[in-house]
Amino acid sequence: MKHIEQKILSRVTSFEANTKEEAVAYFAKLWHSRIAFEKHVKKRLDEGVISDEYDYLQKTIECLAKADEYILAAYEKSWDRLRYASNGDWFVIFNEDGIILTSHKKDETKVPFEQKHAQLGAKLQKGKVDEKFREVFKSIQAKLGKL
Amino acid sequence: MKNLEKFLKAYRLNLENFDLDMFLDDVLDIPHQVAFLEANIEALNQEQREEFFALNKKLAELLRSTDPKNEMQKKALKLLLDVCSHEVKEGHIAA
Repeated sequence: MKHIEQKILSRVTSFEANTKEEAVAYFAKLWHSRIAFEKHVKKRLDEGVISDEYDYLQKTIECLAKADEYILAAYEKSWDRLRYASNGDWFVIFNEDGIILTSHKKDETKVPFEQKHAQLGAKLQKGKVDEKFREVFKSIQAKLGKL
Repeated sequence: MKNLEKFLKAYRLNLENFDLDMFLDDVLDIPHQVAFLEANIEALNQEQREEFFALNKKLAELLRSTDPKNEMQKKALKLLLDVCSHEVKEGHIAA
């Protein structure tokens, strides 16, 4: 789990932005591709859970800044997924390379992460999120608040 | 019922964005959505029921036409086929 966390942090520690557009452009690079990011934005807009790209960025960073619990779904092959949750209402899921796979609001139409991946044969490991991890995202959240 | 509309919308959006590379975690919610709608089919109005059947037909087409690129996608597709096979078949007939 620590190695994935380190990869996530290495991708965000250099975060700098002078405008909301720059912040969104940086955020998009945390995803597999710009297209993947845009498709997720469109879907979350259609779901009515975000108001725009910047709101998506803020909700994702807020989740990571407040994350109290993580769940690692470990696979024999290289499909590991790491899920962070904050206050139980927003989730961010990374792959083993520290790339964001998805970021979404919790609702009853979705299957719990652990149930979903247990069905696919993953071994689950739960734990408390390190304060140092949260601090990095709290610092990004503070920068976003000034834009 | 508000909940039924919510499940129907979630199912619709998952099919509109059916992509195992970009939305695998979302795609894995489909069996739960289908099961909920199937269990509450009597509560669906005619329009909602028709949409549900049409979505089931679309799901059947997507499952037939999607080639998994790795073992994880293969497992996910198998899960969808196992859980949804009855509903997909029923939907196919009804649509």
